[in-house]
Amino acid sequence: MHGDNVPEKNVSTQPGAWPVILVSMPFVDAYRPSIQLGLLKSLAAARGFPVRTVHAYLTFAAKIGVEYYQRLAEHRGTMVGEWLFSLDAFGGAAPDHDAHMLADLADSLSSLGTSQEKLRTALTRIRQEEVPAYLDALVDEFPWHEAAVVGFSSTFQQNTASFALARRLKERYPHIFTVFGGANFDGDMGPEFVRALDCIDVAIIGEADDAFPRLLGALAAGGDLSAVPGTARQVDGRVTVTPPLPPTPHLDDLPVPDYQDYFTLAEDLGILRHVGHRRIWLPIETARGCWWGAKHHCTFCGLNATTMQFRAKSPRRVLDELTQQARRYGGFNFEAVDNVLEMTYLKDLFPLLAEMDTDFEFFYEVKANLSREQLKVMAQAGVTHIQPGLESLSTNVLRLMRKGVRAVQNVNLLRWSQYYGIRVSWNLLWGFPGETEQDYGEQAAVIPHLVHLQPPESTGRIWLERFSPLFTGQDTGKIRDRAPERSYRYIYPHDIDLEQVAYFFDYQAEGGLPDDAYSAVRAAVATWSAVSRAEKPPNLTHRSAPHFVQISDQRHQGRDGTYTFEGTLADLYLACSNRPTTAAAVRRNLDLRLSDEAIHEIFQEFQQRGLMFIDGQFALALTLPAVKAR
Amino acid sequence: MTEIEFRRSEIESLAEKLSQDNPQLDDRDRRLFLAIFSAASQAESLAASEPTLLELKSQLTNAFIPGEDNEFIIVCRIGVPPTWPPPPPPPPPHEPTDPSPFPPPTAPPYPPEGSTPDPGQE
Repeated sequence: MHGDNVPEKNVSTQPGAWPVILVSMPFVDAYRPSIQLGLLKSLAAARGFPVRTVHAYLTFAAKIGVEYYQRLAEHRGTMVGEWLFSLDAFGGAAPDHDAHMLADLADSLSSLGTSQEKLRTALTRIRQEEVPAYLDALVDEFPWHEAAVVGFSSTFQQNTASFALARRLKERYPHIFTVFGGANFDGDMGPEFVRALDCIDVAIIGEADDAFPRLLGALAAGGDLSAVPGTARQVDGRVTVTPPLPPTPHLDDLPVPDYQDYFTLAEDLGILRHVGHRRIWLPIETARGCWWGAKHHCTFCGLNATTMQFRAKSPRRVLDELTQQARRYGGFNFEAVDNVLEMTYLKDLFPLLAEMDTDFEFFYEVKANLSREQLKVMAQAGVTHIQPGLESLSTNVLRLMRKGVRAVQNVNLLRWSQYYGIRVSWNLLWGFPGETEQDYGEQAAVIPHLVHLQPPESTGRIWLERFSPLFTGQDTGKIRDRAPERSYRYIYPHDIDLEQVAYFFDYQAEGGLPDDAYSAVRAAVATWSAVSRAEKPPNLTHRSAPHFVQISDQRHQGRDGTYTFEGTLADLYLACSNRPTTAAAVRRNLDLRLSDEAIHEIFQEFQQRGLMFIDGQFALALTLPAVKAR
Repeated sequence: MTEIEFRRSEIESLAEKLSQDNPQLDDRDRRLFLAIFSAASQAESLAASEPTLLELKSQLTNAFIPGEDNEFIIVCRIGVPPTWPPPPPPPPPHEPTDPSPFPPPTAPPYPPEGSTPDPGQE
């Protein structure tokens, strides 16, 4: 098929005669349907193409055990998922037939097995026995011969499993036309894979909402693919890339994703037995792009390669989609795949949901500078889990990464999220060019005061991602010794240019700190995580009346106690409770005769007792109201 | 006299006008002037009630009572009528079985920096 890419067997020009199968291969979360497959199915079906989706990762999860599969799917860093399928993807051209990667990168794989030997045994067995058997069964047991087109969506570690299946399908059913797309094919990556791999007929570069139906239409109309925008394919032995259309402007025009095939297969395999329909978080897309990134791209962020422009669905459309999906699948939990929350939803969508008294629950990625009032509205609407990209408790480090928030705002978000019962997923990152040891010493010193709040889920050095400003753009001069992350060389054949296909890169930051500069903050976070999981987690609450506040400090066992402040002292403390503020603002609001310097000195006294967080001239009370969620 | 609300800035502005050689007082200025003087004694007492920095620091130093039992602290503060027989003594200080892994707080971790803008909303 590689060559002119025009299918020959199927000559009908009717969409109904062009059955399409869309596939999602390992490794992605087994407890989520693929929104990529669900959306593309609806788009193609709306044009009259018969479409089935195959959430093939479910079959593999069932084969090797869902729990172990999930550990592999959630593993980041070393590309062990890609390595597991590389022999079947590339055959004799694959490197590392003898599994040297497991020894060479053992440290980064330690979370996957109880011992290096057990891990080696388990992964080698999966690679040499389970994967080939899985692929054989997948090809044998599914009616691929009925398909004219098979499409693969690939994100994170789904490349080699997709290539391995495509290779087998091409061998057995040469008439099948293969289409690849997804984040792993954006930018230079897609064209390089098209150049190197015979199992890819066309790759879609960027958003596929328009390109994929057009491609199917072109195939059905006789195979003239040159007019299909945003594609890469081989023509006469050379890779040809067509210019993409602008990103889909009106998200309201997109159909609702179809997840039925996921639930059917997951039920057949018994995967939902442990969690049930209602615990599946249905992916929903309410916005694309990033409004912050369009203004100030965070230095390390490689998301939204070619589609940073922010777009959002209307509140009415979101509400309709939620209602429709809840009715279809009996699920009320929705995971927004948006990169950042549309801020107008705080004024229209969320109040509407709260007013309608719906029982939806939501996960959203947000920017961290949300106020108490905004978090309250979100909680009332059913937002129970957010990922705010806090990344650091140092304003200097946040400035270096162009996050657009201060550390004190991050802490305030942690406070009010906790108060309103919103789980916060966040990481504490380091390795930014220009950071200092003081940045991390200060964070280590302040963390013991914050243990009543939600700790980071992990700590670590930032990854260098393709498309990020550190990789390409204004910050490239701040790194050196850039090279594709080490595990790629154990996965892809030598004739694939890793510089073109890698998403993660190893690097050295200019003037970077040694690893031991982070030891104290790493240890402080480890302790924070441990105490937060204790039977009686740390607690810091206050009760207040006019000119009176009583603070119960139960953060550190053995040092529990109660602070009682009255009059001006209470007023000063409570003035810093809702949001970060300055001594000057407090003096004006309380109409005090004390100087700004004197007020700031009192703030520092509060800080020394671990009751306030001071960030430059901003001060923030650390307590939470003892009375819940007003 | 009719009650009048005024701001500190208005008083400062008035004082500025009065300090000039040829003050031009309008009607509101005059009313303010009267109101200030009529409230002078009260204002004086209010000013006297605002604690100094040293007093605030002293309050802070004495604001902490160790122990887990909030109720005990409240009883101490509001007082209780004497009873007979006397109530049992308060329990001994809590003996931690698993003391906090963090050291006690020491120096402030974030010394103040220079002037910075209000964080606000992006």
